Order: sequence, then structure tokens, then C-alpha cells
Amino acid sequence: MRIRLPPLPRVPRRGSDRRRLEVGSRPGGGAPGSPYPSFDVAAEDKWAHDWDEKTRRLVLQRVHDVPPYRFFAPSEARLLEAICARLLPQDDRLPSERVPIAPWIDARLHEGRGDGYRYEDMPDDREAYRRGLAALDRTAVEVRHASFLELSDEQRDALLGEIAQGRVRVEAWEGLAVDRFVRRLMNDVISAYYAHPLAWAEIGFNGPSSPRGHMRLDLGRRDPWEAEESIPRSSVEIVRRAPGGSGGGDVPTH
Amino acid sequence: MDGQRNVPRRHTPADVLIIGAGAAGGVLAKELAEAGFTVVVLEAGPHWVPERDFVSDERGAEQLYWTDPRVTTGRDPIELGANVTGKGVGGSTVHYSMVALRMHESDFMVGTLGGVAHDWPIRYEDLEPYYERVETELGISGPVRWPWSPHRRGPYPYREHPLNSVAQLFARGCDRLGIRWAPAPIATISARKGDRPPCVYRGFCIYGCSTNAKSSTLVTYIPRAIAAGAEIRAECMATRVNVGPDGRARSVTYLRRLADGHVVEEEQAAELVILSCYSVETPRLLLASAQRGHPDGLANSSGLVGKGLMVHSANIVHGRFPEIVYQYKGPPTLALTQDFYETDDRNDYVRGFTIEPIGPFPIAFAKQVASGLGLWGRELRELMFDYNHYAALGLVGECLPDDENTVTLDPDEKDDHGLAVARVTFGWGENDRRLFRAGADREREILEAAGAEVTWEAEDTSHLMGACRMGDDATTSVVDQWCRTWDVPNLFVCDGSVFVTSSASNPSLTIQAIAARTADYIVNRARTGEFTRRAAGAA
Repeated sequence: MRIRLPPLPRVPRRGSDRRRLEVGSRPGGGAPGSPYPSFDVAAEDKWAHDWDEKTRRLVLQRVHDVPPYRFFAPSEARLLEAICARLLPQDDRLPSERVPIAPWIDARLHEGRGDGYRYEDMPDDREAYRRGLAALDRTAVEVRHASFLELSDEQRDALLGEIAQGRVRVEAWEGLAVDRFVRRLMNDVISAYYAHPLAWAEIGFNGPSSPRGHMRLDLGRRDPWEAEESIPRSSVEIVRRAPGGSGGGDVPTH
Repeated sequence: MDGQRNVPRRHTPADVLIIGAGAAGGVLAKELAEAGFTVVVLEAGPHWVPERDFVSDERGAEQLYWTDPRVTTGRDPIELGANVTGKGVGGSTVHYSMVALRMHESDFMVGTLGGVAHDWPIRYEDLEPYYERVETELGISGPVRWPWSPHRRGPYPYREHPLNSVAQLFARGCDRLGIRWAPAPIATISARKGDRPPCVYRGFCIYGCSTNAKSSTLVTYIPRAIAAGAEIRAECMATRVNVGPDGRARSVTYLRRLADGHVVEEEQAAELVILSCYSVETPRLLLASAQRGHPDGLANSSGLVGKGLMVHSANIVHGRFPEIVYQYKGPPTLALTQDFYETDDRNDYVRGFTIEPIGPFPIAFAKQVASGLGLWGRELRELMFDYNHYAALGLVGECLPDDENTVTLDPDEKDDHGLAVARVTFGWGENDRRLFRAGADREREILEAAGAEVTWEAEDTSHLMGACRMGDDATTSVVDQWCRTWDVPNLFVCDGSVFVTSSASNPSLTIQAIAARTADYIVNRARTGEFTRRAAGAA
């Protein structure tokens, strides 16, 4: 028997403009330290074969239509931006070429989009962010005697490191589970950054791969349109000195 | 809920009303519609058109998950959402990893063999013909030779897929350690099937397949159900099963989301009601349907609705290799081993696990870097530069049932419709912990044998099973071996919630085999006159 699938949608013949994705002054992989300095995830051939029209539209919108702040107050937004800039630093990029992170967290909270679950010992995401940001700044004042925004990058990193490892005075956090808040924040930062074509390019991820797909699946084999590593850079040492890197599993996870 | 609602619209009664168009609901709808029943399926999410709706983007896949609020708690609260749920026609089969395993003979007899859980009321032999039928319908691509239990009577319908780089590393590690491995049987076609083309190895399988090579129920069973006359009613969230004075299920009340965003209440009557909403929403609906004569929820005279929830331990070990891997290519799991599946007296735990290669995309991988290694900042970004040199193995670790692990109605929190949200309580048992520690050790050994320079681990869980278990006795189970509730004769529960034990296999194929068996039972009972069929030409 012939299976009837729902009718195909009409896709306009005119495709989205590839040049609109050229958001950086260098090809996407040009971040210092990237093994793929010349990889362009939206190069002409890739745009034609690896980016179907609906994915093009989605990613162009993500790159260009960065939402305005609607949930956070201006002071909260400034604090969150400063925190995101340390959790995922982009000092190597011109300010106008950095991947926006905090606006996407704001949008998610404004629209009330969640992950589909809330830990019983955590308030809902909106309240968690309001209280978490305030507690983080209170901790800065207690430990460094200055608001987070007044600290140097080194001081900010040191403070975030203590918070990430749970070395905080719990009273300042007024019952908010610090580890869960940090995990929530990191997940949101990662979801925003690694959804951006600049991030895909610097790690050599092929991007949408649709409709072309892949032909060379064997270990070490590369399709001609995939990222080619030119400056290998091993993460072995990073793993060895990471908090959870040696024995593994001694980091509290939830 | 506002007070302006009019009397709910009532639809023409159906023979069969199925709640949930996922793994089980799709099978039931097709089998029963083809047998001549009038079938209506209510699905809370949208009716996807893959070519239109499925973008090739990790974050864009968020639309596929059940993200209505739930509360997670217990000693080891589990992640819900993307991890284990689907919302929309096809359910989570539109984003599952497609691994299509039969459970072992021993899985149905965990009580007899080890005394640590109840036996199932059925044996492997009872499901075998239905496994075969579902494998054929989906077009499972698998190996010619299957090294483990259960013995197969014939080959898989479609040829196995080639191994991708991660599977090749896994095979290399296994070979060096003397561990048997096999290409994974998966619900993705390796050659054309009807209108569906073979897989092109894009790698976006778990974010929605836009080429229809993936055998989700959305593109297999559901179109056949529609062709046989079933109505799939999308954007309809069931809120209550109504029972008549005769003690039989009469109808289901539901909320339909209209195109303009408004929500209206409607009611669908049926001769027979089947809940296929999976291990959280099925018990939630039964509990929310408490009514006269059923004060503790429907089908709950045993008190077991919502009890015995299980998940699989899914600990992930990542290894860094000197070779470039490109872990994003092809279906994520193309090989596996079940050499550690059965109870072994040398272990300090009972039961076992399956090990499967996986290929996390950048967002998922970075989250595991953050949770597993505790990295953030410059070091996180630098480690990510090395993404293409990693390969990962994931666990499907058996979890013993524990009636303290539950789905209940949250006493305080309500969703947008004013309905109590599900509250999911979970904690590992001592056996579970020993088992997943051993599993992660094995994963590490395999990666190291394959040549990994360094390894690290991230904890995870996957799949839901149980919470309305089947059994031989109305006092110790919610449904009988045919998935019929003991308390309400024309109400069935047919999905992963009927699992008695979790097994160490990905559950979808077993869920679908159980659904095919239940459909056969209903057809046979209708022949005896117990259930009526309105449709013309009914046998």
C-alpha cells in the first residue's frame, strides 16, 4: 500500500540571502585558538547545499533580530551581561561582533518558556533569576566589598569560581540552591552561544547539513565541505586540571 | 478557567478513543482503524509536517518537547522536558535515538530469577510475534547476526547502516578488550521504503528528521491510521476521563487550542478509551479523573497508579582521541554491546546495562562539559575548540522498580489551564548506583582501549518506564496483561507506564509491540461481541 504523507508546504523559490550571515570581520572560525581559522559555516557552496530554507530563516532571525530587554530591569540586564561575559568570554571579538547571550535569557523568561520541569527546591525560573542575580551581587559586596560591576575581570572570575564550586555563605543566597542556579545559568548561556553560526564555525561544527547530509562517515574522513583542522589544539591538559577531570564523578551534579 | 465557557461541544461517539499519538498511540490507531473500528486520537501537541516544521537546528528542536510545567523532586530528581518527552503527533518518536531493541527473555522474569522485582504477566514469547510485526512496519535496519538473547527467527527487514566514526572507535575498543559488539538495530531506513528515502546521515535525528528516513510513528503508523479512517485531532489536551453510572468509561473531556490561540472545552464519547500518554501524563490523567466512586483517581483501587516510576541510568563517558572524529555525523547510535546485560554473580549488583555510542551536538556537549568537568569561562570555550576530537559512550542501565518513585498531582502548582501539574519523585536505589558506576567504568575502559588520551564523565538519565504496571492480580497492578485496567472494563492504559521492570534496552520497540498485542486483543474481544464496531464491514 502507498503511504499518504501530508501535502508538502510551498517553499518560495527566492532563497534567503547568504551575505546577511556574514556578521564578523573574519570568517566564522577566525577566533584566536580555533583550529579552523578559515572555516566559514555559511560559505557559498554550504549555503546552497547544507542550509535548507526554513533553517536559513530561523538562523538569520536569531542572528539579526536580537530581542530587546523586556523582563530584566536595566540594572539587572547590565549585571547579567557582565556575568555572561565571564562565563563565556568573547574578548577576542569586537564588541559589535560578539554573540548576544543575556538578551536570549531575557526573552525566554519574558515569554515564560521553560524546560518543562522545576526542581522542588527552586522557585520558577523568573524568580530564580531575580533572586540569583541579587544574591550574586550581595556575595560580591560581602566577599570583595564592591558590587560585581565594580570588580576587575580577575576578581569577577575568582568570585564566579567560588560560587560555581559552592563556596559561598548560604545566608547571602537566602535559601536559593546555589548549585542549581549556576547550572541553570550555565545551561542558558551555552544554549544561546552554541546556537550561533560563529560558535559553530570556531569549533568546526558543520551546521545544518540539510539537505546534503554526509557521505564520509569513517573515522578521520572528511567530506570536502566539512571544517578542516589546520591548527590542532588538544584539550587534554584542560581536562586534566578541570575540577571534575581526574577521577570523574566527584563534582556534584543534579 | 474563565466562567464564560459554553456547554462543551460534543462530538459523535467513536468506537475507540486514544489519548496520545506517540509510540503506542500510533500503533493502536493504525491497527484498530484497519480492523474496522472508528478511531479518534487526541494529541496535546501539533500535527507536524517534517518538511515544513523540522528545522536542522539544535535549539530549534525545543518545539518538540513537552515543556508544560512539572515539579521534579526526591533524592535524585530527574530531568524531564527534552530528555524524555514529546508533544505533537509522533510523540517522542520524532526525536528519539531510534535504537530498536527487543527485551531479553530474562527481562520478563526478574522476580523469578532474582527476587528483586515482580515478574511480568507475559513472557518474551508472548511479545515475539508483535516485535516482528512492528520491526517490519517500521523497517528496522539491523545486523544479520545478533550475538545476544533473544534468538531471532529471521534477519532484520533492512540492511544495517555503515558505522560512523564514533561507532568505529567503540568497535575498536571492544575488539581489543574481547567484548562483543554489533551494529545497532535502528528505526531509520537504510534503503527506500514506500515514499520514504533512505537516511542521508545528516546527524540531526534527535532534533527531528526532515527527510522522513526516520521511522517515527508520525510518518509510519499515523499516515496508515489516517488512510484507514482514523481521525487525529491535534492540539487537544485531555483533562478528564468521565465514568458513567455503569462503571464504564463514557467519554473524555479535553481542551482544544484553536488556531487563534483560544482554548475551548470539548467532549468525545467512545465505547473504549485507551490512555497512551506515557509515564507522567497517563498517571496524571488517571489521578486528575477522580470522581464519584473513584475518590483516589481512576483505575486506582490498588493504590498503584503513579507508583514504580523508573528511568534508565545514562551516564556518559567522553574520550579525547588523536584522530579527528566529527562526532555529529550520522545517527548517534550505530553500534552497541549487550555483553553486560544479564545478572552475573561476580558483580556486586544484579541485572545489567547496554553500552551505546552517542554523538552529542554542540549545545548538549557543552552542557556536559559544564556539568561533568565543572568548566566555564575561557576554558570551556577552549575545550569546545576540540569538539571534533571527542567520542562518547552512553549507558542504558537497568533501574529496579521502587514504589517510592512516583508520579502524583502537585498539591499547590497549577498549569495554564488550572490543572494540577505532575510531581515526579525519584531516587536511585543502592543496586542502581552500583550498576551505573560499573557501567561508566566499562565505558571508560572501552574508550581507553580504543586510544582515548583522556576521559571524563557526565551523569545523565533517559527514558521513562512504569507508574501503571501490568500484572496478574488486581491488588498488585493497575492493568492486566492486555493493558486493560482492572477497575474500569473499557479503559486501557497502553504505553511505557505498564512496564513492570525497566530492562536495559531502549523501551520504544517494546512499547510498540505491547500496543500491537493490545490492539489484537481488542479486535479478538470485539469478535466475541464485547466491544462494538459501528463502522460498516466490521468482521
